[in-house]
Amino acid sequence: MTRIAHLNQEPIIEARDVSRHDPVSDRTLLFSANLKLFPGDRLGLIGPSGCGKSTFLRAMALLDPVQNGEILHHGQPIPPEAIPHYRQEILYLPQRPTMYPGTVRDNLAKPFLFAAATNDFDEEKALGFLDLLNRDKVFLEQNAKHLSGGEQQVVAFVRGLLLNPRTLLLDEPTASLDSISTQRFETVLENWQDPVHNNAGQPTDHLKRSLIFAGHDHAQVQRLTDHVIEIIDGTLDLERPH
Amino acid sequence: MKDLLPPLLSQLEQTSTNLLQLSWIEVGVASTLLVINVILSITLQLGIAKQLLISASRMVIQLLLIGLILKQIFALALLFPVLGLAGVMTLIAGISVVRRTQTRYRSIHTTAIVSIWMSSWIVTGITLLLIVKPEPWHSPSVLIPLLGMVLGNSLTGISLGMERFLRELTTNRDEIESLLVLGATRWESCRPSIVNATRAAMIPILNTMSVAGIVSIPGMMTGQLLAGAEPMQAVRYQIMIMFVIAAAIALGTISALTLTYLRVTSKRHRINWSDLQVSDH
Repeated sequence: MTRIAHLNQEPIIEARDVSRHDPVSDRTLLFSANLKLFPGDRLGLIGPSGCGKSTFLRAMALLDPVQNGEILHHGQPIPPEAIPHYRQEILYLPQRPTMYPGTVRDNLAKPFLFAAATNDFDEEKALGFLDLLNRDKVFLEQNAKHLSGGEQQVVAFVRGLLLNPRTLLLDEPTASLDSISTQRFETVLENWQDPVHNNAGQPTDHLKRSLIFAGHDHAQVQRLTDHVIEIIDGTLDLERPH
Repeated sequence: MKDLLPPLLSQLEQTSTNLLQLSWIEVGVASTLLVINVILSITLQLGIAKQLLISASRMVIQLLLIGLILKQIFALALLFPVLGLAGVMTLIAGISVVRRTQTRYRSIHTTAIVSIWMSSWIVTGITLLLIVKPEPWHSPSVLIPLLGMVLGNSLTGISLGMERFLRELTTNRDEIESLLVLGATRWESCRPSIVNATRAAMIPILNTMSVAGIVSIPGMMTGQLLAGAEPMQAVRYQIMIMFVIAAAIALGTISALTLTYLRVTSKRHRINWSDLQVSDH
């Protein structure tokens, strides 16, 4: 990784010697993983199914207990009361999108009902994202449970973006999308990552967004990220170039 | 209220002349009614004849045993034997709560026993000390049947509630976890399942209350009427007992669901999935 560029910055998230053992299957799913994610980083994670990509992303989202090591946020351990807010800032998008009863709008607005939400649901903003992903206003009224797998992935993606996360942890987010939708998805993702500009048109560096993109498709992962890490049997291979 | 609601035993004594005595021969005649079930099972090939006979035998043996124990304890009427029996009854009820629960966690029995113990003893205690007020307060002829009714009903309610909550957790795993991912606290992610579980627990007693006296004469009232009690007296007792039972179920369910929730979720706002085990029995 081009660490020179990050000399004066602190990582947004850092995994320090993180190991995860599943007591049910009695298998170690993650071996002493170390990773620093800096503002603006675009990191790819590749590897075959079951190699530990999701396990690693879930650990970063604090969804599973880890047996060893810790996840640090701006260099600090994350206290329990800060976790819901952390998850809105470091947003994990699971491979299988989940829809709740109600319309697409209900689904997009759902996270704004939680105590951790800092702002209200912005329908205009939602429509803006949906437009970029080739969906119109009528889409908002559709029953979310009746959507196709690809459409559900679009809703889950927009639902995540609306929370204005600082970092996205994407787990095969285009697995159910057709080629045109995938293309639009990639464009939205690239635009999202562009640094936010202040009123004077200057990029505000501290708002640089970062992402980890886990996938099967090497070409896609390389297209969307600057640095690709392979994960083999639960071990992050940081040295091997891709 | 005190003079209106005399303890059950003294009432039974007063009305024993009206009581329809039942001999063992008559009980034997009633047992032949079981033959109808056996014939039904054989002709329709239901395969439950053996189970029927085992269940019926169990019921007879259990009731005979409790009859003998009650006879001794009623005769003694001492505090500790009464509380001892009450404790054993509560323990068995607690264990029975999770007998048919398919999704379990390691300390599920402790949760069930603590919940049913606390709720049934609090509610029965209030009923004894403030409502029925028998002399002495631990009079076994009042305490034991009252606690028995509270336990029997709480058992069903708590069992339904816990089963529903744990089942929802495992079947709606993705939905619940997705809420956590989007920034929900552990309470926000579990609340819908807890609401459904509380409803499931309360449905039987709500149904019983809404049809009481229309579809059926409730058990306790039936017993009092058979024992020759004045109908309005029996009605008052039945109304009181319904309130008591409903309160015990609500208290027991809330306690059981709270303890389960604290056990299956973590302070770090996640669900302890690996602690939840789904069994086949």
